[in-house]
This record gives sequence, C-alpha cells and structure tokens, in this order.
Amino acid sequence: MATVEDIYRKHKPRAFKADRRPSRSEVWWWFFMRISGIILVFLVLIHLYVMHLVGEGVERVNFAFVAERWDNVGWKTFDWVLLVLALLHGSNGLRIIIDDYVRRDGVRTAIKGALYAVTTVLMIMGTAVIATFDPSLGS
Amino acid sequence: MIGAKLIEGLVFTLTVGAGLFALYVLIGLFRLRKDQKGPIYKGGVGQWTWAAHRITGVGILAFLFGHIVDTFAVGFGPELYNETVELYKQWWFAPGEVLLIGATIYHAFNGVRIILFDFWPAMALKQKTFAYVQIVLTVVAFVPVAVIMLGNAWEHSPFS
Repeated sequence: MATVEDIYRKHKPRAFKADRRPSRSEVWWWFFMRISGIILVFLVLIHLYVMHLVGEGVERVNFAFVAERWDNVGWKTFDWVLLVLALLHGSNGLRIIIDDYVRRDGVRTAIKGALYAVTTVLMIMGTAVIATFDPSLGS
Repeated sequence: MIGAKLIEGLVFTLTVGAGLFALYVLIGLFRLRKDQKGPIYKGGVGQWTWAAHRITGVGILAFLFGHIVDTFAVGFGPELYNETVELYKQWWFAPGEVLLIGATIYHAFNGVRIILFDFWPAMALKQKTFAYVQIVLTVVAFVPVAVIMLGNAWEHSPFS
C-alpha cells in the first residue's frame, strides 16, 4: 500500500529536499493525535450537545446542575477522559505550532517549558476538582 | 467576588491571545501569497483549510484553558461558581459561544478528513474535492446549531 509520503514524493518531490526523518516519540505523538482526535469527535460533540443545545443550554448550568451531573460516576468519568484527551491533544498541537513559528532556540525552549508547566497545572486542577468534588458545599 | 473577576479576566485575555494568533497566521499567509516566497504553500483550498485548522485549534485550546479554571471554581462552593459561570450567560457572550461551537465542528470534520488521508492515502490525490465536501458538511451541521443557539440567546436577551 502506498503511503501518503510515497504519493507526496511522487507528486511533490520538491517538498522532500531536506529529507528529514521524525524521531520515535514524534511518531507516537502523531499517532496519539489521530487516535485522540477520533475519540474526541464523539466526546466533544456529546459534551456540546448536552451542555449547549439541550434544554436551555448554558442558562441552566450552575452549582446544583454540576452537583446533579457529578452524582453519576459515568459523567464524572466522561468529563475526566474528555479533560485528559482534550488537554493533551490541544497542548501537543500548540507545541507543534510553537515549533513552526518560534525560530530562536532559547525563546522556543522557554515558551514550550511554560506550555508544559501550564498543561501540568491544568491537568492537576481538573483532575482534583472532579476527584474531590463535594456536593454538600451547596446545602 | 474577586475570584470570579479574575477568571473572567483570564477568559478575556486568552480570547484576545487566540485572536492575535489568528491575525498572525493570516497576515503571514497573505504576505506569502504576495511575495511568492513560500516553500510549499501558494494558496488554494488546502492551504486555507490548514490555516483554519490551526486557528480553530488554538481558539478551542484557549477556551479549554479558561474552561478548566472556571470548572475548578466549582470545588469552592456555589457562591464562587455561580458568579463565575454568570459570564457565559451574558447576552453579549452568545455570539462567542456560537463561534466556539462552529470552530469545534470545523476542527472535528477537518480532523477526520486528515485522518482519512493518513489511513487511505490514495484519497489525498483528490484532496481538493474532499476539502470542498468537508466545508459543505461543516456548514450543513453548523447552520441549524447556530440558529437554535442564537434563538435561545435572543429569548434570554434584554432585547426580546
């Protein structure tokens, strides 16, 4: 089976002059983007449908609404999987964009370091709030 | 409450940042088209879908960052959380919400198109046709959603 690369080599030979090969981890991130992308299509569209289209949309979202939703361990799991996949998919995408646009080595390293730090903090914040949510705060 | 105001400020800052990024990418593309100096991209539907994929991706990620922080507020009880999500219920936020949904639908459909090319590479030879089909599908999915959401927002706005 011909790969995309074969086809592009045949039809767009100029794009391959540099002939660079990606690293092993880069191939895994490429694969992760496809797999998480397919799963996210379903998760995100369900999330948007439930939160923005059904009933009164975001008008009805408040503490009591979240407490009722997170009373169900299924929705808690759904939201956590959505958090992890969306945050990793988005941060990895932004990493690739930073690689494309920021040419100076030191600046690029600093910006990517900040991105990894922010991603880690947000991952911990999101996981913590789902895991430790206490509905009795509302009563 | 100061916490709610801080989260609101964060959401605004991220939105402005994503907007500036969109401008940066678009200006770069128009300059590339003018100078004809680009190595690969010289216009065409493939380039614009690529640029839109980047811009919508950064826009959605910017909102996701803010959205994780506003959801974190739910751990501090109803007073802080209810004031925080009040931002998303303002009538002037509705167009932004609709834009966000549109960006997500576009990014999802365009992403599926890219994945199809990756796993069935021969399709890439017909990439222009697929790009137009995908744009039509995005519009068909987005228009009814936008109508429903803007109708909802209109009913809750002070103008109706």
